[in-house]
Amino acid sequence: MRITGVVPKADGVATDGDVFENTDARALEKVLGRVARRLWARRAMRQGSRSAALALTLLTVVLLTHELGLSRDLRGPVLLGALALGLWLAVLPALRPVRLARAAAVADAAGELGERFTTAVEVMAERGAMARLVVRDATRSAAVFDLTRLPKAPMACELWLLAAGTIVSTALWLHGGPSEGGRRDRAGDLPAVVGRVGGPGEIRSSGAPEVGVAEPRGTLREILRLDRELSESRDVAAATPASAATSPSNDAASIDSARVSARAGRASSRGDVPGDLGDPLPMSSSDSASPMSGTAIPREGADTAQPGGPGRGAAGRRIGLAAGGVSPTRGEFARDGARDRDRDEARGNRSGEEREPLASARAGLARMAVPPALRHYVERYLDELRRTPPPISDEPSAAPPRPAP
Amino acid sequence: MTAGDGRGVDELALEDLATRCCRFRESFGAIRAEVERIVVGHPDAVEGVLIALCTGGHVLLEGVPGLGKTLLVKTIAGALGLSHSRVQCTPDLMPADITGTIALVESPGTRDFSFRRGPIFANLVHVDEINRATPKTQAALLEAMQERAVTIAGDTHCLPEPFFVLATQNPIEMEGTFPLPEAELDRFFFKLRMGLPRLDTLVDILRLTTGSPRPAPTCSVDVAQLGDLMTLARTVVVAEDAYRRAARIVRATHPDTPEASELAKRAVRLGASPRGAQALVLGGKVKALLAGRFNVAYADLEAVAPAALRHRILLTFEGEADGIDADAVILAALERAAELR
Repeated sequence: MRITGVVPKADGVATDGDVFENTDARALEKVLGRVARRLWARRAMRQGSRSAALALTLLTVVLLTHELGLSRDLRGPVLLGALALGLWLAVLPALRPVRLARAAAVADAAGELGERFTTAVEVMAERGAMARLVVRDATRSAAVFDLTRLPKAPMACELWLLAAGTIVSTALWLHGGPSEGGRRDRAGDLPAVVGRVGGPGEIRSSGAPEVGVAEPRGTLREILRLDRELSESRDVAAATPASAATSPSNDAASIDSARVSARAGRASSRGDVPGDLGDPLPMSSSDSASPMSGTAIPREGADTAQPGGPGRGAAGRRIGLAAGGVSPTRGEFARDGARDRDRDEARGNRSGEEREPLASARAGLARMAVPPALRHYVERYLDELRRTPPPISDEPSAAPPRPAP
Repeated sequence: MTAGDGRGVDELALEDLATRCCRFRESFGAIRAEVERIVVGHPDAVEGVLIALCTGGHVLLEGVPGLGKTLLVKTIAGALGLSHSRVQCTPDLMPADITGTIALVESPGTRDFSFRRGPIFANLVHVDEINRATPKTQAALLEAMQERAVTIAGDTHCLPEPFFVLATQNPIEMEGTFPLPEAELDRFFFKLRMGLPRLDTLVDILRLTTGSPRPAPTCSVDVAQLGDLMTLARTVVVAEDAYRRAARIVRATHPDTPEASELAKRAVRLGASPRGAQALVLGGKVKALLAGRFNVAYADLEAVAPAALRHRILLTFEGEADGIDADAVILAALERAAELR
């Protein structure tokens, strides 16, 4: 330790080297400077994590809003804005250094030093003997002060927020991935959306001019997906017509009717349709809907006329019932289908065997309060069904031949 | 400019000051040890009285009879080598009985009035059962305690330095007593409570007091040394934050300040005075020296806060009815002041 100071002369004249130099104060400042830098770094880290959490939260909110169809695609600008905001907020603490007095107070509390540092910082510039004694005492304490005793910044909340924001925003980002444009191309003549998307009342009818068309999302995207699956299942049904033979009813009309219903039923079980259709029929106890896939899974004996996979018949039957008032039981399905087929065969018009169910379904659909998008979809699909020839089975029918009426 | 051994003058001054501070602790410890050799079972009261003496403050000792209040005062007087006097307060005690009076003195051939000093003219005045004296007599102590002087028949007489008043009072017996007015209570630096000693302590008391007479306390420091201790105690450095903490503690005892604690708002009619804040800081300085520091810490202020503030807080009727005492209010004030940091 070296303390050089001025001893005031009696006449008050300053002499050469009249400079007060307190090496104790310098040593103390050095230690407190380290404390201040560490505090600054921790503050910056906490501020940075808070900023990142805030930016992520903003991003998540925007993505969620967009996913719900409440806004245009603003992800790019918003992402940039959120990142800029986060960076700006993270840089803020760097612009404001930790004061020495603040560092001293924190170190005092952490080391239980009895306000030695705080007092020393305050009297560092004083020349009184007791003040210098205080500085010396503080310097001695600083020499053995353990910087690891400084309090850790409580960042649990920020980290949790950051993690949650990361997960949610990533999920939303991936869910609404960048391939939306390609899907839209496949939409072809599907309803165009003007302005916002997602709201059922805002989906315009087919053929409407596309003004400010946004990416198809929400309900529209679901319709596109249903349409794609429909075309795939149609291929499957055509390739494996024998699947219908496994049905006890072995009724083509019934199969197609169930297929129609199954498409809608799957949509229904995903939660898109029931709210719109009003879910007029409760799901029977023999049916179960998987909440994950949204596919209605029939239990044993529920419905075996499933050309496209398990459960479609059950859910489809519900929609079919809702649309055409068809009897919910399999036997009635079979009887109706047999009657239709026999009538058509008697008329020699094979493709006309779906006419009556289709007509009744169409009539039922007209009576129901269905969102325009779904109505459009179902009507279009009914038209497709009417134009599509029934699948030709390679295997003999398991059902006994019915006598002509 | 260096000393003979090469050290600077400032260095020598620092070392001298550090030595004096160290000697302060040793002297204080020696006095305390000497007093506690005779007064058993009241270490807090002993320390409190000595801290007050080191700052030149007066002490009010409160406790039921037989706990050794008078013994404590006499022992401290003996240990400090101070002149000591005792005033036993009764309702018929007159101010002149304390301060002194003008008496007609007859000498051969002359008759003259001369001032005859009362018991107040001593370094250490023991005012026993002060609440038994009438307010008029109690008021006679006001000037002495504050101004360290008494005025009799137009003449002001200075009291000897150092001057301490150690008063005792019984908190239980209210018959024939006159509670001290707030103004006089405020003159006391500390109010210390002496409680019933624990079992082991009581056994020690019995062992010490029922055998052969104990030797009188030996004088550890003289008056000059005591004066040096008092001077040194005032040089302890107090940071701005510590001053603010003391001020916040005092303001937190007031019900109508922004710093008021919830308990103070509910149960306090009048909080501590600025004298209370002074007592906090001065007591904190002595505590800092005793802790080997040259600066006052928050812990020092908190340690002396109950003794320095409890007699300066006036509770409301509701507070007293709820059984709230001043110490609880002080504790709440300390917490509140720490929150406001």
